[in-house]
Order: sequence, then C-alpha cells, then structure tokens
Amino acid sequence: MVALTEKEVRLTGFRAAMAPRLREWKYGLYRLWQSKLAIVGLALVVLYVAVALFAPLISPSEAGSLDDYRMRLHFSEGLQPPGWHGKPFGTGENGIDLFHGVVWGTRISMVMGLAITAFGAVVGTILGGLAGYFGGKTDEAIMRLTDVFLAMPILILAMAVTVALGPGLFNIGLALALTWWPSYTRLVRGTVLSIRENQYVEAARAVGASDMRIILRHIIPNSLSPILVQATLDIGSVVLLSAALSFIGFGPSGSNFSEWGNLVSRGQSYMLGHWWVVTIPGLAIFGFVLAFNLLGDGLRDLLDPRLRK
Amino acid sequence: MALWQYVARRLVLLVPVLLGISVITFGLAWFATHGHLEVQYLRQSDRLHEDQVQRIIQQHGFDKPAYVQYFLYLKDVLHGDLGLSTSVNDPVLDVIKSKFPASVELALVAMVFAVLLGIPWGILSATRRDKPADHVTRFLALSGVSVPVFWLALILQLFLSYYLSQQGFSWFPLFGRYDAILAGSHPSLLNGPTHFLLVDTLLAGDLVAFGDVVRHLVLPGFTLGFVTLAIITRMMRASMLEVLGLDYVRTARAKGLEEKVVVNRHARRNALIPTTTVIGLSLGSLMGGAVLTETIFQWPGLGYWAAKGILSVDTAAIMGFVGLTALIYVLANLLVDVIYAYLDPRVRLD
Repeated sequence: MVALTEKEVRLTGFRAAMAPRLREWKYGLYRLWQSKLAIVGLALVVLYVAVALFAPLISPSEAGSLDDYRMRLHFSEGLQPPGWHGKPFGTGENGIDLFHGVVWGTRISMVMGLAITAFGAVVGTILGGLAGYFGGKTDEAIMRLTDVFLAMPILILAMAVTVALGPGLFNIGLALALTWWPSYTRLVRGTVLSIRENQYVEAARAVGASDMRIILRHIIPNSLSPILVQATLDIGSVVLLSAALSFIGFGPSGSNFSEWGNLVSRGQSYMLGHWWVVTIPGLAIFGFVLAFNLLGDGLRDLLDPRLRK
Repeated sequence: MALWQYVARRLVLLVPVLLGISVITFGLAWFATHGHLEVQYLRQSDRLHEDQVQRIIQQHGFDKPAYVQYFLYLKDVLHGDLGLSTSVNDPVLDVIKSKFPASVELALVAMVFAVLLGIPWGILSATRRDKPADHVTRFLALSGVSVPVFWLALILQLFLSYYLSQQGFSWFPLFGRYDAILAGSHPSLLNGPTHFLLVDTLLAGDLVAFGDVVRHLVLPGFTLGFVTLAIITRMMRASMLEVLGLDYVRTARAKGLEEKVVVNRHARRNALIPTTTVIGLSLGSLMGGAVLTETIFQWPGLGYWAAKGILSVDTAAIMGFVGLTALIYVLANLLVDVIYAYLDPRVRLD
C-alpha cells in the first residue's frame, strides 16, 4: 500500500467533500441547457457583457473627442436613418452617432446594474440576516425601518431621493442604492427564519458552534440561491429604473451623453418622422432587461428543488 | 382574532410607518432646499414685500431648528395644509383634489384592462403548459415586465398615433385627455359632476364626447396597464400550475368531471387568491408608471404634476405626491391582506 502524503490525504478529503456540490453544479448546468428561454437569456447577457467590455474596440472614439462617453457633434449632418453608411443605428440631434451612444451606454448600464444590485444585496443580506438570526429587538428595529422604505413604490422613492441629491448619473445611482436594500432585507430575513429551524443548525449549536460560524457556514450558503435569483432579476430592474430616472430629467447634462435613458429622452423632442432616434436606444434597454429576466427566471427554476421532477 | 380586531391592529401599526414616511419626505425636502424650506413659499412670487416674507417665516417657523420645523410641518399636514405647489401656485391639497379624478380614471382603465386579459391568459398558459400558446403568453408576459414604460409610451405615440395618422387613420391622438376644440361644443367634457370623463359624458348622453374620451384613453391606458397585465398573467399561470397539481383537482378529474369544469370551477377559484394579492400590490408599480405615462401623454393627473414639480424643484408638490402615494400604497396593502384572509380561511390572523 502506498503511503499518502498529508497533502494527498487532504486533497482526497476535499474531493469527497466537494463531490455532492460538483454533482449539483453539473445537474444545474444540464438543467440550464434544457431550458431554451434561459439559454437565450444567457446568450443575450454574454452579448451585453461583451459589448460593455469591448466598447473601445466596437466603437472607437472619433479623433479629437475628449470623452469616450460623449458622442461627437456634427452640426452639418442632419438626422440620418439607420443604414450601412458607417452609422448603422442612424444619427440623432446634431448628427450624433447613435451606434456609439448605444455601445458606450451598455457599459454605463452594466456598471450601474451590477454596482447598485451588489450594494443592495450585500447591505440587505447583512440586515436581513441579523434580523432573522437574532430576532427580538434587533429584528423589530430593522424590520420597522424596512417597512417604511417598502411603503413606497421604489420609482417614486428613488425620484424623491434624487430630487434631494440633485441631477447626474452618480446621484441616480446613489438614490437607487439607498432604496434598493429593503427588498433583500425582507427576502433574507424570511429565508433565514426558515433555515434557522432546521435540524442541522440545531445540531451545530448543540456541538457548541459560535453564532458567527453558524451564520457563515450554514445560514449564508443555504440562503444564497434566492438571493442570487433576485439579484439576477434586479440587475435588469435597476437599469430599467435608472433609465427612467434619467428620462424624467435627472440624467447627465448634455444631449450627447451616451446613456440609454438620456438618448431616449433627447430623442423624444424630434422623434416624429424620425422613428429610430427613440426606438433603437429603447430596444437596447428592453433587450438588456429581458436578458436578465430570462436568465433569472431560468435560475429560479433551476435552484428551487421543489420545481424539480 | 376577529377580522375587525385584525384590521384595527393593522391600522394602529400603520401609524409608525406613516410617521417614518413623513420623516423621510421632510428630510428629503430639507436636503433639496439646503435647509431653506421657506423657498417653497417665497419662490412663487417676487412681489412679496419684505415684511410679508418675515411673516411667512414666523408663521411656519422657518427660522427654527430642523426638528422643530419637522413638528410644525407635521402639525400643518394634520391640519390639511400641505404647503404651496409653486409650479402651479395653488395649495397642494387643492391640486391633489382637482387632479385626482384624471389619474384614477386612467389607473382604473389600465387595471380593468390588465385584469380582464391577464387572468384568462394566465389560465390559458397554465392549461396549455409548454405548448405554443404557453410560449407566446410567457414571452409576452416577460416582455411586459422588461419593457421601459416611457419607451413603450413613445413607441405607441410614434407608430399608432403619428405614423398611423400619416396613413390617414387618425384613430389615437398623441396626447391629452380630450379634444380641446370639441370641448367647446360639448360641455360634459369640462364641467361634469364626477370629473370622470367616461361617466360624465355618458350621463350627459353625449356619445361623440364619449368616443373622444375613449380614443384618448386607449394608448395611455394600454401603456400603464401593460406592466400590470404581465405581472397578473405570470402570477395567474404560476398559481394555476400549483393548484392543478393538488390532490383535490386530481380527485375532481378522477370522478370524471369535464376538464372545463375542473379548470373553471375547481382550480380557478383557488388560483385567484394569490393573484388578488398581486393585483393589489401592483398598485405601486401603477403609480410609479403613472408619473412616466402621464408625462408623456400630457395627461392632466397627479403624475404629470409631480413630474413637472420635480423639474422645477417644487418641494411641496413632491412631498405631497410621495406622501399620498405612500398612503394609498399602505392602505392597498392592508386591503389586500384583509381580502386574502377573507378568501382563504386557512390564513391565520395574527
């Protein structure tokens, strides 16, 4: 018999411990592959991520422009419909290139969607976890605060916050970040409450595990899947709301800024007779949100064991 | 616990929530005006004399510290004084009263449209699971929750109003609640008893005006209702699928009932319960959507006023609108819970 080194022993142990998780992952990927809608969503998400990452290659800045996110103004060129004359999405007010706007706007939407969702999910998870695990006064305090925030439709609350902060993309992001955590707090609290009653948590407590260990090793891993599903769906919703706030008039200044809501908003005033100036940037938003919703729905079916056959 | 006790308890619990909301709206207005809330009174006019300005400051305590001002604001609100909307130069409460019917009419039309289509679509989707009808419905429903409301409104204006009228079919006007020229000869559009134009024109027996109101309602009503339609369809499908898998449905099938009876009499009733909840909760997205929809269609309601107030930093209008929305929202939530408890006797009231 060959003696195993300590490293090998540990590795075997690790493999044995990970085996069920690997099996779970493989099964998950298989299920994802089975669901056509989710695959379409995933493909679209990958496309948007690629556009966001490679924006400088897809639509290089024109010579002499100082800011990639600002489309060059060509006052002499009027509004041109989409076509293969180097402006595939057509041009808007003052000859701005809508293709450039949509491509660089993808980057802005992607960053906002990811950053705001991540912030909301982390803050909400911490608060919801504390409320659900400790209960009592902590729970009361956190949930009463959450109730106040949830008592208003999120668009209207975010609007009011943006009024207080002033216009600009950063302030839109800040307003959404400040209003996004409550739904996670409620979600995570509910999940934690149901997990806390499980026997394996009781067993961990019985062998003397600390609160911290129970939270980190048992509660958080088991409440991850609903959070993951919610976060995927929320990336789309965040982009939908930030575009809406930008459309209302909180957006970046200047008609040539590459942000989707701004493009639609500026296009509104001269869209009659020039259908592409609002249709195309809006389709970019629609596709983005649809992609994350398709993927999120697919993940939900996949991660919820009750929906399995 | 009896139902009325439950309702009373919930109403009491609303008080801290509403107080919290008032703190938020006050805080935001305080921020927005850099601690000078008096601007919402003073900006309205340069004609105010210096001692008039002083009197307003004294009267509303604008020279006091913030926490004192908050209590004065609360006192004003409880006395029905929500401040002055500087964008229209009228007290906020009067503006809310005068613009409420237009918003409610639009929201009701949107809601009725969403419920009447959403429930049958959800049932269809569930009973034809994984068939073409299901795929189409699911895709439409998913589009509904993914589409930017403001973009949908613009697209409808552009294609169903502008380009269609270019082709000679002027069916749907670009914006407004009624035709201003028509209103000159049809007084029921302007001063009917209820200010719900559908009702007013019918009461006056004025079918021409009624038709005009309907034509103006189609595009904004569809825009506003589409998201809700999507939410209701998705919920109805999900709860229908769940109910169809339950034992009592299998029993109903096993004793040889027709599929139609099983679906309509047995399954639908129970599947409607969670859908009712969603209908109530979607009031929130309806009010958020109203700001965008009303603005684009220049619908003379609360949302349009709020959007204009935002652009002119009309803090009293924004505080009033946010407060009103929150109030409607929490009351709708409460109503939903009560209806739920009534419909589903298994729900424990505690």
